[in-house]
Amino acid sequence: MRYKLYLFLTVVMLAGVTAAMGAPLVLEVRASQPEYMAKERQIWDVFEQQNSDIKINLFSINESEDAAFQARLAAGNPPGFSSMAYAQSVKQGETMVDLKTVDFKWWDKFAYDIKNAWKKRYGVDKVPIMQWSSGPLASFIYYKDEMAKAGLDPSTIRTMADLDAFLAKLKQYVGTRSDLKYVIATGWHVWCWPYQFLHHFITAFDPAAQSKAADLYTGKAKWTDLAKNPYVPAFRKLKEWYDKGYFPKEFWTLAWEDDFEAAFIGRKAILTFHGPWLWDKVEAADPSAQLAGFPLPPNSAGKIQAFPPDVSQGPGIYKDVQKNPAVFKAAVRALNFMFSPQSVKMLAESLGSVPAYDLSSVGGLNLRTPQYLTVIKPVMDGKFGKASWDNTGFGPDAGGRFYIEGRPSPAFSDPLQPIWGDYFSGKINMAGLMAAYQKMFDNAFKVQ
Amino acid sequence: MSAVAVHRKQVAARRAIAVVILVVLLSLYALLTLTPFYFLFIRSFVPTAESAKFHAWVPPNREFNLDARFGNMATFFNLDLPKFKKDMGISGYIDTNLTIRELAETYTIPPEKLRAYFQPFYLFNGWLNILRSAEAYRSFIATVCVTALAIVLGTLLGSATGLGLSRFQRKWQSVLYTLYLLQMVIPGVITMLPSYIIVRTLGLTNTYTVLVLGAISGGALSTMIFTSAAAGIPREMQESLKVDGGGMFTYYHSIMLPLIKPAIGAFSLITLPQVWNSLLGSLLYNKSGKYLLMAFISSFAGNYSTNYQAIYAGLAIALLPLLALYVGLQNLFVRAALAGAVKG
Amino acid sequence: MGPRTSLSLTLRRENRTSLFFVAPQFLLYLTFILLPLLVSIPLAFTDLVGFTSTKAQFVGIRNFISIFTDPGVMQYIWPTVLRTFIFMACNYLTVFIFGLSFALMMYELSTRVQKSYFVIIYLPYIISGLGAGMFIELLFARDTGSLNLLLELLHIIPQPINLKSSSASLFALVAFVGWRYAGYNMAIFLSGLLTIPVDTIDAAKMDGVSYLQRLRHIYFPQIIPSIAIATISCLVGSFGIFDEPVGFGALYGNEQARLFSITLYRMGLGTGGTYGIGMLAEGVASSIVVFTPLIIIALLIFRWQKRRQVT
Repeated sequence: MRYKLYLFLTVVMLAGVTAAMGAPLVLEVRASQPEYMAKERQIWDVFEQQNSDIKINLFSINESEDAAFQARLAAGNPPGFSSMAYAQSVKQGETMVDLKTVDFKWWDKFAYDIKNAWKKRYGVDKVPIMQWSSGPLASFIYYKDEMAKAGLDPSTIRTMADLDAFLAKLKQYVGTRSDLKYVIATGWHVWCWPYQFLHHFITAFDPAAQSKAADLYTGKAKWTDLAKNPYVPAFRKLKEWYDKGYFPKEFWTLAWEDDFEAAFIGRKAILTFHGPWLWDKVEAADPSAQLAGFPLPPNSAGKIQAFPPDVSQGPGIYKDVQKNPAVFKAAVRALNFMFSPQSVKMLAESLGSVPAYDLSSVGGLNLRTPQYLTVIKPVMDGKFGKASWDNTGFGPDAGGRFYIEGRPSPAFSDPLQPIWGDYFSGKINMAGLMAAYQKMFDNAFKVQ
Repeated sequence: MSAVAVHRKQVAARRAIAVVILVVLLSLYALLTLTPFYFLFIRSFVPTAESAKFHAWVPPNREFNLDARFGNMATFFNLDLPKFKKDMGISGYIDTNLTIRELAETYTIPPEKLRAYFQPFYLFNGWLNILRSAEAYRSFIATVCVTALAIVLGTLLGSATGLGLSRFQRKWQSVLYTLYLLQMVIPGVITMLPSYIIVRTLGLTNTYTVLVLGAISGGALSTMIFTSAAAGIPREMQESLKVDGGGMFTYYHSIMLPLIKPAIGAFSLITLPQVWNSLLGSLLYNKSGKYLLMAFISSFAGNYSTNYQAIYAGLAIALLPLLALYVGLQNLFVRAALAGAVKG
Repeated sequence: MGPRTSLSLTLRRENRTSLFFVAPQFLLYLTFILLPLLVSIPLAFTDLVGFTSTKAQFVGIRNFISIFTDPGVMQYIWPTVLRTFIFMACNYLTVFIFGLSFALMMYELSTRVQKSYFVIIYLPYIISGLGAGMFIELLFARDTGSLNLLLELLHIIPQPINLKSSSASLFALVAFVGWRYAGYNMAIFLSGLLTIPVDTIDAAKMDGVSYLQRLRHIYFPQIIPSIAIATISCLVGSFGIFDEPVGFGALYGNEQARLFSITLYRMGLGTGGTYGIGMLAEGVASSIVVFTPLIIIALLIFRWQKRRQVT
């Protein structure tokens, strides 16, 4: 009788032990964006099939959860692997593992010098972020059917003058339809306008714009020197468009998603200027929508600004993960999986990003997203005249190492919003705008 | 008719007119107050693509477009991909750039089956996502439990504090009272990190316990309500009990608690929406598997920032139980609300 | 042992028992509320930049000086403090406009009618803070807000109301907050009114006392405790209110909706986010400077009200 009990207990114990041994290790992975959760989940499912001893818990952080998540990070409880981590200053870089020190197999696949990219910006020899994707390109986006109804064809735009003429005709058309309210729908976003969009615009006026901007951010030139300031022509053009009524009134007060994106999805405008995310959102909300796009016109050297890989934000592993060696090992395996050619191909094709990565070993890239098909590829194929993509990095990146942690940067931060508002509403002129920028720079950067 | 009688009639008539005016005014305000709730309900069915037009009622369903791309549908409608694959008999990775039509061809599924699967999502994806989500049910039940516990335990602890404070020596009383009042002015963001570290040291991260404990820690309102309620009971009650040999504890549960029912009602009334709607605790201490309802809705809404149906359906779900409770238990509710926030 | 000694013994024993009653909740309060606060106060004497920074240096009372002398810091704090006082004053008005008026109205009606209206007026209070922000977007988003669309459709307004840009946005905020807390305030006043014995009212009516006279001499004295509580809630609440300003775009550039609580939040965040200012230490210092007088005033009002009760 008793020996049966012992047998039973031993069996239970053995089962428990085997279960514990075989129980998969749980790796928490932060998705890159909430919008991409479903797509990334599929890809991590493939990882789980290939690695049955690891289970992936995919989660995402949206804006309302961000502050609480930051507290969690600061307290030293990061997720095992982050598809979206930030190393936008030397201090932030210190919280990430130097990926040069881990066992990573795919260095030679990158189409750019990833080992030195972060060092070039922030002065520290480290790779905190492993970035496979080019940056999010911003371009004009429009509803094909509506544009056809208006009788306009943006694919013929070759110069800024063409663009001005096109916008004037579009404004006339919008005036004839009571259901359309804006020529170019937009709103305010602290990163999209001052950082992403603005730095696409400056190249359209000056082939050397980014290097001039770099001089501003390394203290070699002053914003107030209007003649040499590459932002001046861009702001001038944007203000001209605002004064002509192309942008919504007081667009710097419009919420990005609730006001702007919803308005565009609701067809209050035919045209807008935005990055890759909007295409998916519009198509998801309205599958009958046919979207197309066109880039900014090329500058005198025939170049249009593209967005090179941004190594200040993207996949990485927080240092605190190393406290748990088993989780850290799993994180490194996840890293190697994510950057294997098959995964990069899956990610690129589902998220619609052009990879800065060699995919020849897996049959090359088959991107079918509308931004790629109507904007990126046509330029490469010469459909927009002699234009070609300019992959110079954005000017502000050059000042990365001089940035004082915690100060509002003129590259992107909230205080820019009232400054832009004052400029566009006419309360300050160009000199005033650049003086404000200079002041922000002097406060936030310590140039040696 | 005597002059007095005439006067009485005039007064009565004036009063009747006054009452009618009051009722009209209150009705207008009531209508004004109910309108936003009505729009919330309607908008939970209005797709974002139609949100730039005014809808007084649920819009008609549109036929599902088979040229929609699968990846976008999966994202926007929060498809349970493993379940979808099982239902359609697909295994392995699906190319998210395929349109639904192409999906039907590639995996030899009759297009009508896919159409029927996706059709309800156009109007109802907000509600479907919540009603089909195990996560929603879990957080709902958890929230009900945490709220109930918070009210019961909060009453017990709060009334105990009230009794103790009302009997304390004057100087201790003032000190403790002031300390409790401090709770009104604590700015959240500054205490986030210290709170997190304290909770982690206690090993209470990612538990429901920490959420209950946080809700019953007391504060300005709880202390004010219960201290004044306890002080309002005549001293003779305790004296008489002492004569019979009873101590403070007997006094507490046999005399005080029954007598301060109005205060308990007022406290429950204020605590109920507070705990039900609490957001920061879940976000800060717990992972998404242990979020309470509001945190679940916020993460749900944040993930579908331009899908109004999802956002408003989520908000409606968070509101409906409270609405039902307040309307259903009207009598209790009104009595509690009027009872004792103000006893001196 | 004489009677005096036994009295003090009883007093001491009662104090000890009271301690047992107070201890459980106080322990929780200490752990979850006071301790984080106590740990945070010394931060005012450091140079901490954001609530997630873990390296800080002691700088003495420099922050307390800089919030009064350094324009770069003052520009964030004092305009919002002034705005919060204005908000508080207007909010105080709505407490009476919504709360007292409704209470007086309801007081004149029969209980059956009272109940339904009561519940409806109270409803906005059960919306969560997050929900309040969503409601504002639901109703007043420029292109998709239901009320904006309806008013435009009926040609009552030529252009949609942009709550986030006009200078009237602060007053719209006040109106919204008033609407949201209408039921709460009404309950406070109504419960005060209900303590008046019905006989007193009837007698007064019989004597032909006019409504206004009744208001002044009978109603008003009875609701003074309510007024005190409402004042304290308004005073301190106005400096803590957070979700409604966020709903009005305070974190997205609507300067008019930036109240003190929003400033503290932004100062507590580092600048990695989209609206952080990155001055946590100065934020803590300014909150100490602003809240201490508020608490003192709130306590004084409360003490005065209690003492008045006793007489």
